[in-house]
Amino acid sequence: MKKDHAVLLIDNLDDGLNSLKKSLSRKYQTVIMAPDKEQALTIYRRHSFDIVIVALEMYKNEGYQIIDAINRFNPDQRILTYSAVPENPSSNVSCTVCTKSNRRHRIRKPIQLEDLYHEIEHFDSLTCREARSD
Amino acid sequence: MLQVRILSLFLLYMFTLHAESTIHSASEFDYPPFAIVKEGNTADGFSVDILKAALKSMNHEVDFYVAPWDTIRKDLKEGRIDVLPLVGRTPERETYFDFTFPYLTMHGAIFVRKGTTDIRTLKDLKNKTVLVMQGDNAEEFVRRENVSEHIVTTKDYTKAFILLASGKYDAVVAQKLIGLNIIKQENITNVHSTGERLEGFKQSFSFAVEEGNKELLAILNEGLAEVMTDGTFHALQQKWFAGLNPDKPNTRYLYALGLTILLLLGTLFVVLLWQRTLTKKVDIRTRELKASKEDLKKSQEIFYTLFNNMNNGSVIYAPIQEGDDFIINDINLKGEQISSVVKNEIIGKKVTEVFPAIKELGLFQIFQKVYRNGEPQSQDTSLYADGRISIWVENFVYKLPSGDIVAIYNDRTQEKMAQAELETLNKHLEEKIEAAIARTKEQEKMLLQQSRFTAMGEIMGAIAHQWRQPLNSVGLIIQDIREAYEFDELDKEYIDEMVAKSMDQINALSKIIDDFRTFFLPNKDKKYFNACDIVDKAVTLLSAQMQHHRIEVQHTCRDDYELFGFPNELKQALINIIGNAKDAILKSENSDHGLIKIITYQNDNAQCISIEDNGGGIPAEIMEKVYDPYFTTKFTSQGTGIGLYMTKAIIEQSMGGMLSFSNTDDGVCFVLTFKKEAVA
Repeated sequence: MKKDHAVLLIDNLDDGLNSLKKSLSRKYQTVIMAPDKEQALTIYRRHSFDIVIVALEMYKNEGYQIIDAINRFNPDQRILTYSAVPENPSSNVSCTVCTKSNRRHRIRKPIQLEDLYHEIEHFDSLTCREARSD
Repeated sequence: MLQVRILSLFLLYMFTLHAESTIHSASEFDYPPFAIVKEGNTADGFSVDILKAALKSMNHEVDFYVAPWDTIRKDLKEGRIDVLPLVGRTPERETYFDFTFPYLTMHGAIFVRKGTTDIRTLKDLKNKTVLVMQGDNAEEFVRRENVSEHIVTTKDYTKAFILLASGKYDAVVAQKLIGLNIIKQENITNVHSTGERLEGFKQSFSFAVEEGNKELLAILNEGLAEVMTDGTFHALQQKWFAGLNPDKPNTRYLYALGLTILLLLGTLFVVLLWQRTLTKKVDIRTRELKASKEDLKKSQEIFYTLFNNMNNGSVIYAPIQEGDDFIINDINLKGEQISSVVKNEIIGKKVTEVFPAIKELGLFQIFQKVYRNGEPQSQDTSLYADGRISIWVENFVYKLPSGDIVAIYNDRTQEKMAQAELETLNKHLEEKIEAAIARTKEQEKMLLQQSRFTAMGEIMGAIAHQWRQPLNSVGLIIQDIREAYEFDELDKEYIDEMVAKSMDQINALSKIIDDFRTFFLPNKDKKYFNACDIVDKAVTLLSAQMQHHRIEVQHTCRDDYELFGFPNELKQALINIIGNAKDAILKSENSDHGLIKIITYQNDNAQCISIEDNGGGIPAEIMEKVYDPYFTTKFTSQGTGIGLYMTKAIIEQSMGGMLSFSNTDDGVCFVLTFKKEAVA
């Protein structure tokens, strides 16, 4: 039984991403994938999503631009980011993302599906400090 | 003339006072027509008359006695008589007689029998028997001239002529006038003169007095002058020589004589003129010589001043034994000083004695060579050491026109010592420089190593980024397989698809490994490579990091060209510059929208890569330090300060290019420039 969650997955398309979409689709009711900033924002404006999952290291830094755009449009939007960079918690990027809004959490590649499901399903109960962002 | 006359009168007066008695004279027996004996054994003849007339004109009486010539000559010589009337003037007689001026000059002649053809000149008398009067000038003449080996003397000339006329003997030599007179008186018809005028037998007749009897001599000269001018002399000549063919010059002779006198006078004039000219020339030449002498003296003074004040040692050597050795002639003050000798102690000594090691020095051989060929020669600085002194000297040797040898020399000891010291210092300096270079090289090696470690750190970060992406994909694929199995979606086709996707990711991982491994292998040889490809690879390596930091990296390959050099080192340099740009951007106000623009382009002269960021630029106060090793503005944990130092070294030393930078409106732009000829 799929859970009634609407998830927007934004990342450059690759084989691993398709697998992620398949996995998320088995778990949640609505999973839409956008490969770039333009499609992602177009989709976001037309639909309501419980959570947006954004890859930070997208081509031309579009991951950050997408987050900024969504924040401007809906500051309460739950946003979960993932990155391949083992980021220092004291770095600007990490702190900014984590402290400006409790609506954003971050996970690290390689993505553990169980962790991802947990983040999605318990997003509101997580604090920044508890977020698995190294 | 008046003075002479006054003096004569005075002497006459004095003589009259002291000699009240008659003047005594004597005449020879037979010297006609000059001296003959009359009946009663009284003297007569031309000379007797002349003497009488001369003394008479001076108011004096004279008496005569007659004796052979030798006798009367001896009587005058010993002061028994006062005067002789007829004496030929000869050098011998001048030693004991004083003579008046001559009143008659006669030439000698050769008399032979008529028909004699083999006797004409004196030479013809060589083997003939010749008659002369004993003690007469003729005897002195024939013996002096060695006219013949057969000379026969007679008491008087009359006898000589009679003997000749009688056929005995071959010739008579006598005064021509005497001979002619005897021939006439004795009526000799077969004897005559050859006509040869014996120039060497010319006789001037004077009155003779005892040597020193000046008073009488003055009276006689005065009287003789009187009789010669008042016509007495001429009258007596007519009396005694009439009918004879006296040795009187004829018109032609007189003409020749006059011409000769004129010539002589002309010659005398020319001689006087020449003498005057010569005297002037001598005066001029004397002045010139005097001036030359003064010039020479000045020159000598200048020479000695120069010689003694010159700053070189100088010695003058005189060769002896054809240059087998040399004597020291002179040495100047500097020479004494250099050679530690005293001039007075070495002058005149052999050079080998004063400088015993001169042959070992090789200078002695140079002396000999210069002496023999006259060519100047120099000797390079050499050591002279003989136990007394030890000096480094440099010699120049040349030969004087006089044949002397001059050695000019300089003391180079101080220079040599300084040179040796300098060589030692240089050696030590070289060692120090070599050590410093070695240290520098070691430091550079360490810096390079550090740089590589730094770059490795950067790359390791990049690897992490690059790897996590495919790792993440593989992880998601694997997890998807598990879920597909749980959802009963798994079949062979699904598994094959997942395996293929997984292998693609795994191959991507492998490729990343290869790329990074290549990066850490420095190129050994230069090669041609595409500049845009290298820039792309550097950007790709850093792309994950840049994306993470929200920094956009744009690479525009405006011109696609090749560079010649070490591609991996250039890649390292680019990563350093891009990494610095990233750090600057993250610290700047543009940290949320960092931009790094890379352009690969070329112009007519150069191929360039520019890297421009918007990280705020480099503060002016540190612009001169950015290339210094260990200079960093970063936290110690972030930077080592050798990135740009090594980047510059790579670009300029390894690649032969140039690295420059300048601030832009909101950042800095580094430009890598490679001259086209340098990369061709």
